[in-house]
Amino acid sequence: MAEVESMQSWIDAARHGDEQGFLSIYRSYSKKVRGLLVQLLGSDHLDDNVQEVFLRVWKGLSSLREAQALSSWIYRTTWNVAMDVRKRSAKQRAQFNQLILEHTLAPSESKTEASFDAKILVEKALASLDFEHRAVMVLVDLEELSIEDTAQMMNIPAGTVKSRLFNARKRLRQFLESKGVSL
Amino acid sequence: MNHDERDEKLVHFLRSHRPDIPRESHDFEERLLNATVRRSLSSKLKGMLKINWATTGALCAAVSLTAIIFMRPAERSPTHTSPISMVTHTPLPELSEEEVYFFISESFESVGTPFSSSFDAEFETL
Repeated sequence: MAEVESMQSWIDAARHGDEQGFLSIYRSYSKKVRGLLVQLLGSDHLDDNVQEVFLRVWKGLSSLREAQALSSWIYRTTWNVAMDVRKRSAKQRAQFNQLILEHTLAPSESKTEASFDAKILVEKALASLDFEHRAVMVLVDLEELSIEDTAQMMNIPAGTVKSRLFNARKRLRQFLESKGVSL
Repeated sequence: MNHDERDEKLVHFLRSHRPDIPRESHDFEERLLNATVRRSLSSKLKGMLKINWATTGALCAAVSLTAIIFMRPAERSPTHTSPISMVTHTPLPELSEEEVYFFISESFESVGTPFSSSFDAEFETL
């Protein structure tokens, strides 16, 4: 409750042009936003994309009615920015996937621990999926959104989310198995 | 192991090894605040330009409408003709009666008809 109240006070302050109020909102959600953008788009231009999300948040704060809706609204805004970036840079996306593949095939010698390998493997596995399947997997399995919330965010039926999730998990499992990881 | 268990294991593996999130640049917050200022200025400027465009458009429309309404119909008529002297800005020469007769008879004869016979024929029909 106290959290909601402080969030409301930040929102009110930010609406009136208070920089500290806006920065408080940014600090509360930056990690989530960065994480989601990395998993959806990769780490290229991450700062620019995060900036775009928070500029939209800042601009749209005046139309936000309840502080409780802020979290899902920021998620939605992040998703919209990711979609816009994706539309703008189809070429870059292909390059990103290629980069991930090359990076995984030739890891540097200083980072050969098992945990690093597993992280790279997960990154590579996610990159091997097409955007629609990767997005569902990231939102449901990694960001722990419900099927309904994911469907609403992606503007698709819940049944489509379920079927994409089923296929994405199947493909990911096959990919990991081909790399020697049995799950 | 059933299907749900396999899914759980996969999701657990993914969550345990999710990709690293690169740290933001050290001056990111400052850049973000600067960007908000820039964007608000740009929005205001766009608003002003929008108003100016509307004003300019309205003015143009008003001027065109005035021109259409107040333009004299005679000037707009496609059948209207101007005296040749107005077009060429050269006054026509004043001719004596002999010169006129000579000019007309020359013109008739140049097409193969003597001026006098054409005159006579004209009288016969009358």
